[in-house]
Amino acid sequence: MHRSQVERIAIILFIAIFAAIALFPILWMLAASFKTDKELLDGSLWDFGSAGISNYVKAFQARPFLRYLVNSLLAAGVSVLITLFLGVLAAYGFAKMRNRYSEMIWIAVLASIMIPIEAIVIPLFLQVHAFGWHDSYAGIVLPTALNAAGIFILRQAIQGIPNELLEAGRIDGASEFTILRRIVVPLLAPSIVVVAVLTFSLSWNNYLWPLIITSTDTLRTLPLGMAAFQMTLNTKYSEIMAVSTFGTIPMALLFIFLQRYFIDSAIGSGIK
Amino acid sequence: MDTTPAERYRRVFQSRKRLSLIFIAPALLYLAIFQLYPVLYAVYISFHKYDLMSPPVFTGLSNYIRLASDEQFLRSLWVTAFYVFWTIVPVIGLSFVLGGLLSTLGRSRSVWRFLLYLPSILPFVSVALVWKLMFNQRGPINDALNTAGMASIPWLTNGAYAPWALIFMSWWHATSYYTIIFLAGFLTLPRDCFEAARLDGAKLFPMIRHITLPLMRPTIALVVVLATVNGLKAFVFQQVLTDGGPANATQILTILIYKTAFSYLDMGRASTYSIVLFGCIMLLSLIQIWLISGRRDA
Repeated sequence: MHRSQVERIAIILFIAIFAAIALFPILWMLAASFKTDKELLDGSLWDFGSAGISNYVKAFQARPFLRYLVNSLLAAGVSVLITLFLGVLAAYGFAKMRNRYSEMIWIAVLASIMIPIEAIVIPLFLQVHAFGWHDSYAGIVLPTALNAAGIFILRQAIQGIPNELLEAGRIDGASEFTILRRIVVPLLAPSIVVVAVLTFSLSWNNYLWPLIITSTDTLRTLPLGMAAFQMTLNTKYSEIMAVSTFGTIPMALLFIFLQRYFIDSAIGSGIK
Repeated sequence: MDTTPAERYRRVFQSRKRLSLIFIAPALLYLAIFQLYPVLYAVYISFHKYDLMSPPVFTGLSNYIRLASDEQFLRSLWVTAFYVFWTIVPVIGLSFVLGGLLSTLGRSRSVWRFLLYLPSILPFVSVALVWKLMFNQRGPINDALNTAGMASIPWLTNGAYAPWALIFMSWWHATSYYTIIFLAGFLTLPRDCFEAARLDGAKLFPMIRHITLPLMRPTIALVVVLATVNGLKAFVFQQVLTDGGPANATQILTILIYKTAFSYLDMGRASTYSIVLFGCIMLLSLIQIWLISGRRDA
């Protein structure tokens, strides 16, 4: 008993060290956003800053960060909606209406999950130009909106629903769409939240694609705005830390309220 | 008209097969336009010389043949391999240990998991901006080195250190994510196996070697593939911290593709690089699908 107690304390200590390492840069960023540049570079780590919220105010005066935020929220929102709508439909088709062809098509969908955007940005860029979507919301959002990994997660969840439930509906003469809406979707709620969280965070981190397809400042998403702000001449370090913190707030809020789903989506995205 | 439930059922069942197409068609169309077509298009462009100004000129395999003597590309391939290898090996080891230890905890587990997962919720650009400043000549990392009596290191401006700076920050960022995946794997292990071994007086390391490692093999394999693919797809950190520099020391494949296409407007070459990247990732992903389906059958 005594030995296992020592063991437990050693384990917690080990984990605590790494938790501290995980936390340090985040707390440092937060603290830096309230310091002046002089305090940030010359002062002690542990001093509180004297800048108040002035770094935030200056950053927001320099660039339209609220606009960037709205753009990012819009892109993430549309991605979540498109992924859920097309994803639930397709997942139901693949899970409960199987036939020879759908099995084959499913393999193709699985393969497309693996296609990295990093490898197809050039043709996508030319294609979106041809559509006339260059430098527009449609061009930023639509090409990357459908998160195919979401279809995979939803299909797994629908396969877990017993067929008897669906048969009961069919015998009563309900159409497949009604069954999907009335029986399947309510049972799917947890997976839907997981897919929504996963799609939202993927969209929130989209960087390469919006970088390529936007040239107007007011169309930029938050990550682009943050990176561009950093590259502006004479930008203060502390102001950069203020916008870094600002960009974290929406994800932090989501994480605090939906922690369980975040963890599940991290695990679910293991297949992506 | 169908009268008995059986007849009605048969009718519904038969129409269902055709109906399935209506359900999957929208998603399929979407993937065909924005995933499948671009892949084919990329292959097409890779056989051409194309600078966006004039129409593409067919050049056959010459883009591919040139790869073998393309020093920028070969350098970039090496930089990518170096980055991926030194990032994933320590990260996988550490995440495995942390995930395993977390799984032994009781009620306090969720608190530690929350703290350890925090780096993963930061937007990539925020992570990059914070670490860029931490690696500053007068930043906290050099402060700590000075306090320990060592000289400051020009982390991001010297080609000898910049790759390591990116690797160190990737350790911090990636460990957080894979710890959670390993923890999930550890939590599915059967407890009684370990109880039995413990009762038989098994020592810790033989127990890990003969029980934990074989049972965790599917999760380990999954994380190895996942971490490699994510390493190959890295872009933001390199772009924000060093933009591939100094002197191309951190120019991983994605950065090279981006610059070749959108700075030098050489779409043909950039597409050829893309196909190489795509091939590597596809190969790894196929291994991953094989592993996942193997695990489900087991």
